[in-house]
Amino acid sequence: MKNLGIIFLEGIYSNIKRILFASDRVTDMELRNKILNGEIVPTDKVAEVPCIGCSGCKNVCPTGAIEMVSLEEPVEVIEGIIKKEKPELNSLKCVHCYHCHDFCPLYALFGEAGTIHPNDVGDVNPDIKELLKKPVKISEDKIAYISKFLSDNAVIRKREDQNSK
Amino acid sequence: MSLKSYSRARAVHVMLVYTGGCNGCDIEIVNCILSPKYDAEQYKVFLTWNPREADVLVVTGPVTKHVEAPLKAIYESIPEPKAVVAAGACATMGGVYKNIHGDIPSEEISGPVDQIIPVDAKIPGCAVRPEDVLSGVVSALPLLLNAK
Repeated sequence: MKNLGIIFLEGIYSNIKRILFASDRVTDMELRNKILNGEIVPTDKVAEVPCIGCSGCKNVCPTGAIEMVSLEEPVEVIEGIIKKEKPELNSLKCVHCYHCHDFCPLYALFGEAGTIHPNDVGDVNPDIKELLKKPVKISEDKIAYISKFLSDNAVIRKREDQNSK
Repeated sequence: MSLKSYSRARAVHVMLVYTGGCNGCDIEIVNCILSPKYDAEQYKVFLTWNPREADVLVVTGPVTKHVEAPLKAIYESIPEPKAVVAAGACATMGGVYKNIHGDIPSEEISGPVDQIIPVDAKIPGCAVRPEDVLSGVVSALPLLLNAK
């Protein structure tokens, strides 16, 4: 009987705490207010500053979800490489195959995080000027495969010609 | 605010239908309604499996040929007013299942969802983020509350 009373009292105490002080709540108030005010925004898909604008991601995308948007003024990444456009990913067309991220030169050649990612690009801050000066060893046939896609729409044009026939 | 919309706002029922996806989105949606961190029940949103109770229909997955007729039947048995939310890459555009053969569309898929039933809100992602699902459902709520 005494034990039962203790259980009752403990239950009353913890429930009063829950009602008055909102204890045991796990949702943080910031997230709650964001949801109620409709302030949830999609995550960034493209890191615009470290991107070198090679259009490789656009050319390998199997569903055509990536479009290249012209920059307001061209940026010189290093001597001889001028960035004129940046990618923009349409999430409603994307199938999340991650081909763009794996094809991004910063990931494929230098082992850094790619500057485009279908879910969340996160913080990407590689030192591009140092990276691009580093020599990279690639075999000749690999170079031929990669150069088909970088800043060149020949593969895409060929595919469109096949579709139109 | 009329009495109808006042009472509707206090008990919004969400029904989840999965139509042949990989179950990743279903886990995230059940997680965002029942788990303590996201907990949609604090916003008076509840999960139900009865289409006659439901206000919001959340569809995941590309619609396979098998579930096309059941999905239409479920949609028609939900009373007006209703809102439909397509969650995940498969429901919005077919995902990897529709595009499994590259340029040739798959023959087993008759989706995406908006070719079969009218869709009010689309949530991209693979899998969807729970906060995106909650804001998607919340964005479809005015359709219910402003209805006559």
